[in-house]
Amino acid sequence: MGIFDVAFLVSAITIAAPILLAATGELVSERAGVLNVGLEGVLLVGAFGGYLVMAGTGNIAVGFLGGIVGGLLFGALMGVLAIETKVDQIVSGIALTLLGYGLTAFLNDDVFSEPRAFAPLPRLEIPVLSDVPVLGPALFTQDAFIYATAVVVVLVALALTRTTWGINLKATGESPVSVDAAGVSVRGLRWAGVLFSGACAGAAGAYISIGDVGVFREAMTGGRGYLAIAAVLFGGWRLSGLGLAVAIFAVTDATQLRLQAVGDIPREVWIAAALLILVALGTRRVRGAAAATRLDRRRAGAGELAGLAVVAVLVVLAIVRPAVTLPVSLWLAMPYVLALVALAAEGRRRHKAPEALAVPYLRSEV
Amino acid sequence: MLSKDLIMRLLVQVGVALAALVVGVLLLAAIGVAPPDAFHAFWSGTFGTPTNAGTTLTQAVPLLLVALGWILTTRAGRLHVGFPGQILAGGSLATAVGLQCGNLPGPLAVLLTAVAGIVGGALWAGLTAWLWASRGVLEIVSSLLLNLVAIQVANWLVRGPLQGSLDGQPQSANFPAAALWPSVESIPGRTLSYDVVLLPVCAIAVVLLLSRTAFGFRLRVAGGNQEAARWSGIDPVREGVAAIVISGGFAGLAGAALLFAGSAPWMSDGFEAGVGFNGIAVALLARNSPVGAVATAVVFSALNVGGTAMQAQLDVPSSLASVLQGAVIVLVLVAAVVLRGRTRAPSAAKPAPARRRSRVVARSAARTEEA
Repeated sequence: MGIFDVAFLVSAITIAAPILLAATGELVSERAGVLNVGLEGVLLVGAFGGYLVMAGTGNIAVGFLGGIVGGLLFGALMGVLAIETKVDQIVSGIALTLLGYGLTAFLNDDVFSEPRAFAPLPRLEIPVLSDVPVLGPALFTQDAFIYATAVVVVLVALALTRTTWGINLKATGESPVSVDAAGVSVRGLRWAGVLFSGACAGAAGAYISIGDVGVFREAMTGGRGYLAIAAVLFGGWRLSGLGLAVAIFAVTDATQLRLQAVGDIPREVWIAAALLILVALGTRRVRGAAAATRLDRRRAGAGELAGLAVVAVLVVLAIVRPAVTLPVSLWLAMPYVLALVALAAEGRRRHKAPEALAVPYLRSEV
Repeated sequence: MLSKDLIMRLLVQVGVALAALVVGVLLLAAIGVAPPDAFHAFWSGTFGTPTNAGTTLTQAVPLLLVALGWILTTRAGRLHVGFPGQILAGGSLATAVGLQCGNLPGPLAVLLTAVAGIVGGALWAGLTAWLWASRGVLEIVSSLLLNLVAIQVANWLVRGPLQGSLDGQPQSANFPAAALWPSVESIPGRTLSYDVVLLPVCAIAVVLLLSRTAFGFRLRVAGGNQEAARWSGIDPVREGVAAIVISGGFAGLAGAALLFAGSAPWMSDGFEAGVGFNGIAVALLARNSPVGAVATAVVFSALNVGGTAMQAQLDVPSSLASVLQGAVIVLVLVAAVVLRGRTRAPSAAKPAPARRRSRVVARSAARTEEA
């Protein structure tokens, strides 16, 4: 399979896990009506918190706890700003980003004159399942964080759909007035959402620093926080869509890591891209059948033509196989470009943002 | 004629500045630097000598330009944070143009670099505006992602097409002397660039634009109440797009200023140096007042320049500046609430996808179409 082998899957899953966990937390927070644009800052604080505690105790589990505490602290700051003082959430998010970056860089310079490296999380083989070919090494020979992420995502999915608490939380994002009228605390639910998101981002940050590579560097999260926010939007505020978005980002990122080493773009990349677009067009078509107006249908037709043209170009490229090499920086920009294209392609048709997203709740207004 | 309200505001502003100072002193104490030493290093590094004062004032210009861009977009009810990307785009285009300007007369070359900066920034912001207006992508998210793309594109430019340094460093060739923006010659080191005239000129221009022109009025109406704007024949989407693109122009000009009035006459990949986000903090500290932003831009520039001086003399990490800037935003937000009291509702703009028609109109139009 050339570059798409088992090691590729493993690296894609390693890339996906922290983004998925951070995005799941952000989803819960946004469904409760609090938009945390400062996720990048929270991730950095989690990464540094984990690194700091790890350096002090030498125990990786305690290190992760340190990351979670760091994330909770920044989540609490967001909560104070957004829920208690009811200031603009986007501006608060910018403040969190700046503070997270500044504090971690400042303390890192001060506490660690020499960077320290730790052994990353060990991989755990799950008996029997890890012997399954392809899937075994990819899915069942991972580290504890990745298993934990899977568990958290499943629990969140169950909580949001099957529990009163989850339904109340979603209602808080849509119509806080009704939640308040029903005698449920809007403040409590929003705090729960914000703190949960902080803890998730803290753990994800700790994984980026001590879990995966074992060091901390200034601004090492490299935009993963923004990718997580983009995944929530692209996923239409649903967990399934979010998972798909994270998978796309992770696969692009893993491909770009591989291609940096390979040089020329091999044939299977073109074919895989063409197949992906075909699948995307197919799902659009199925959904488009239910399009409400003729105008929407006409627009969808134009989109399909454009998509098919791209597929044709990709097939030609796969046959001709030109010696194309992209500079490293442009590969690094690829996940972000893809996120933008994905958001643009979604358009406003599926813009199902929670009604009260980023709107502070004031009881006196009602 | 100081009204009670204005005095109150000034007091809160001073309170915020003092609180930020306390945070700074605490952090300095935490790493074992005596505050008097730090203050001495800070003062001599910022305003102590004419050379350093020139640097401080010159570096305030890009900050103010970004702040003005932020003020314009918030008045139009939009929030985008794409300034770092727009600075990089404007600076890159200005570099590409400036490197070709060796044989042109000085004033023309300077004008061309400035215009190239504005165009580059406006085009990059245009992407955000288009995604918001016609694809319904929240401008804050698309601008964040475009920043990350711009960083990589700039990295590639200084290693690829624009790479021109002789020893293979990732930076462009030295700008021709004709394209460099003129500076005051009597100051040692020629650190004071004449572009400091932009400080008062641009601030007043934005004040007049917002308060005295029809365009400024439309911007403010669109930012105040979208529905009301629509009913009075103002298209809030068009005004929002205009505001985002103009703010991109300001940020692009800031990019050109950073390069052509900066300390190094070439483009390297890190020339943006956090100005994009700091400019937002400048505007917030001035409570989105264009004239106030001139003062806060000088303060922030002093923080940066003084932070570098403290790093050189006392080994204080220069990231202290970004901690203080983050703290300033938090303090300003909280102070705004204190000032307003808890009785009145804060006017938080809801990030909404662009809607050209109101829902009622859209629904009836859809019905007509089906029929």
